[in-house]
Amino acid sequence: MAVLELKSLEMSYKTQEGTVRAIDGASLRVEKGDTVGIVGESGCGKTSIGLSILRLLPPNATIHGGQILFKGQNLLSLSGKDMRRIRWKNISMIFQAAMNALDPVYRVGDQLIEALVEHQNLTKKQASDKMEAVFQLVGLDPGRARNYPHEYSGGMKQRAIIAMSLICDPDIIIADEATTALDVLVQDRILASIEKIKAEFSMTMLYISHDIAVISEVCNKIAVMYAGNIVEHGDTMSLFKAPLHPYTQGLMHSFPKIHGKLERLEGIPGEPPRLTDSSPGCRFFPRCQQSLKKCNSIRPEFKEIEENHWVACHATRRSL
Amino acid sequence: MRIGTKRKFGLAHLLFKGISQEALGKIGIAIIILFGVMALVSPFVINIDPDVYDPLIGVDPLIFSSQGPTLTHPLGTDHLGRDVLSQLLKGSQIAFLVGITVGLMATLIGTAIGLISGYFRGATDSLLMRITDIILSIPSLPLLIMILCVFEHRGIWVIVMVLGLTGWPITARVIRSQTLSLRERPFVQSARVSGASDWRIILIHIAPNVLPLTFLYMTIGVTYAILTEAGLGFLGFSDPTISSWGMMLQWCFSTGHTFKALYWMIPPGLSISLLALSFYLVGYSLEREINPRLREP
Amino acid sequence: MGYLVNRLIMTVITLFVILTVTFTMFRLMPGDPSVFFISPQMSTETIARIKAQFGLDQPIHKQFTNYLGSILHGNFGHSFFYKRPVLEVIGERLLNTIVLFLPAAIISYLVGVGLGRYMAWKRGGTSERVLIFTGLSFWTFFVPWLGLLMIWVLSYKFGLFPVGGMITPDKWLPGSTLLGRALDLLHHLVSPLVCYVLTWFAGNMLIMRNSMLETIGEDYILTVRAKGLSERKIRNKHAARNAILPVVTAFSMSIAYSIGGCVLLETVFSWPGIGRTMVDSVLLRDYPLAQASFILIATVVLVANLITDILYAYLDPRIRY
Repeated sequence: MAVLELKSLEMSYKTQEGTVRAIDGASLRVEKGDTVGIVGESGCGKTSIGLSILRLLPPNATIHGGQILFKGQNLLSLSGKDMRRIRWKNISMIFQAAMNALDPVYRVGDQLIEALVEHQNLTKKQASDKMEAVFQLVGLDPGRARNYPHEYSGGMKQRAIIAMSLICDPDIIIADEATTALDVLVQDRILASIEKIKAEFSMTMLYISHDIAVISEVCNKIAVMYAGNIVEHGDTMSLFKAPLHPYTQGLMHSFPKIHGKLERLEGIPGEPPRLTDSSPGCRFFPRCQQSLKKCNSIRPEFKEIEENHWVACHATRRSL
Repeated sequence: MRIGTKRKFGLAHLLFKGISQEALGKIGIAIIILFGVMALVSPFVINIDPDVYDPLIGVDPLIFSSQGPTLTHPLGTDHLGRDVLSQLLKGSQIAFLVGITVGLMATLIGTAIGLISGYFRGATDSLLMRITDIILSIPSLPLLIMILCVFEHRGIWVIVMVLGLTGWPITARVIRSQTLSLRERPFVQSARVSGASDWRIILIHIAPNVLPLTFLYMTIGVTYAILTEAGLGFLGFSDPTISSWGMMLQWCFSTGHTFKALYWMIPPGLSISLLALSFYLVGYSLEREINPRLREP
Repeated sequence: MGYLVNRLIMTVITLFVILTVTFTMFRLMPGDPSVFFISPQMSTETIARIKAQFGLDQPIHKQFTNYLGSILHGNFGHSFFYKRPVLEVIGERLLNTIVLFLPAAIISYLVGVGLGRYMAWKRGGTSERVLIFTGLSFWTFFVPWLGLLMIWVLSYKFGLFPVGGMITPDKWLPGSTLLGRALDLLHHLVSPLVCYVLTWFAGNMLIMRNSMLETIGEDYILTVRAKGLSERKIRNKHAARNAILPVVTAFSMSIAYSIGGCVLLETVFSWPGIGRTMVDSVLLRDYPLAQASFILIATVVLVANLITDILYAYLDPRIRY
């Protein structure tokens, strides 16, 4: 059974400009030990997926379709109290350190312990031992646990946040732009830490980022998101070698390859659509160079075209 | 704070939208208009018969003590037989005069100091902010009483000047912190790179963007001025030659009519409180428009 | 530590400014301090002797240092009106003011913060709108008028509380119990205290509400929610704990303004405090008494400010370290 499975999830925000369909059919599977990356431009709904899973969406958002299955149990049908028990204990989250995700008035160590004692019955000593253990795991000096967040550098904060996500031994960790705001060297070291921890504990992760280079480094599976849809989902290798969806192809071409011959980078012409518009067709249609007639009027189904490789595109299916 | 680079009709639009969308803002405007009409009507009432209706020297020849409402004196008379309604109307004029003038003065000074302090930073900023802090930590009403005692003839303009010259610190602090953040915005940076002078940047690029805040603090300044002038009047430190609302209450209180003549005690206190409230309501509605986080989701 | 040293230095500077301003003001005021003792019939020698007694024959800078010296030694001179040392007249009244001011400040703060927290959490409801309107109305209420209305309703109509004053002398005769005295004081304290709190709490309430709304949008609130904490814990332990910081700052800044309420309330409720003493002595041109009253009121504010600053440093680790 998959640890986490999204089945055609639909979610929208009510705003002054109208209803924004931020997630408009997203399906995804995360098996135990997998690290699945969600990649897409900013504003495509990646972050909303993370928040939907933990049911932490702002009050103006509603999930009005689909399922979120955690070990087969639909999280959307849980009571608030039961959902609260799942948070962090089963599903934890790594927030951006630049986001000021640590409460400035409490000691960092205490904030880790707070999560632990909320979900497990531990003595003070046990909790503090556990906290020190995860501190060491992410390469932080446990002596710094008594410091406040403002005494930490950006990289240290990020490590502390990762340590916090590990403290309850969750079944799955959702990382949302976990290294984005850090400078390249720190980012590299933290990615290395994540890799190490992942290997050691065979962690299951959902890794959300706009940075396809990072995603390709960390993840063994990728879901490509465009304007609220997951348009392609499959192994990292096969996605890189043979991207099937026109948007994925464009995305791959807009990145320089470090190895291999020098190619001219191509962008994708046009802009992502406004999510308030609801056209019945494929959302990528206006920018797609391989579009067919029906693309404008019929939304392509998200289908498994090869084994463990799903694509939502009319053109792709024909080419097979 | 939602403060953009270029906003056409910015302030007017903001004022209109902020005030008209909020029920509380509408109530505020309605009360201000009501007292505005009272201030305008005042001369006509006095002119009916200045000998009877002048707020200070008009005395009803038939009345020698405070008497309750009658047809000729709808709000009764004070202990000398002067018309309470006429005093109240005149008081409205004075409240507007004091409130608006002091509000304008204090806000202008505060904004100027805030802009200079926030823009130039460094030693200028330190000095100005220390001065601001010192003024903020001196008890205002006792200080005003002391300053006013220096003047042997406390005209209403002396009071206006003193209130205006001491009422700016809060505005200065708020405008300063706004300026500090504005000066780092790209549009200010680009103006600086393109060689605009400091004063030009302050006046053309930063000042228009603090204007909504300035207006907000002006409404608070007006409230402060109305309440403080009334307080000084009530203690007997306001201009004794003017029937301000504070003085009216002082006459009523000091002659022992507080509980005997409610028709005399209620109107001035109610007017002070209502007019002060109305400006605050306008400011409150404005604040919600300037800072969207305070509005309902 | 740097922060507190800084605040301490600022307090000393402010005190110096206050003393200087006071000195200047009272020398600019109409009528020499010696008018009480000098009459036109006196000989020039007598006048000169009286002036010398007050140090008025000395150059101004010498007068100023003398003035500073004697005030730092707690010597505020003799009251013209009471013909007694000022400190004797004023000491008890300062205490009376603090008895009114301190509980008023604490209750206003607690009520304001509590209501503001509640409002921010229950957004958009009727209770929020009612609280905002009520709060704003009281905030802009003319303090003496509210006092008079309260006396009229509570004391005059229903006879629940005394019309004014601080004690009933009958109940403080020798042999009366401490409890009896305390209850009598409390009985007199209720009306002015309630009046003070009503006109003061709303400022704290609205700032707390706004600060709380800002804080709820912060990222660390999302984090603690993701950690599975209960709404109550999120609200009290994290949102309110952070939201309280700007309220403390604003509260500290409001003290100097709010003590004006003491001056007005003491007049309305005949409370024998230092504010009323200042008003009376200014009107009587009893300058030594007025001067001392002002300096002591200002000192109360400075001390209160310093205490809130220390409290702030305690509450915000970013300042502490």
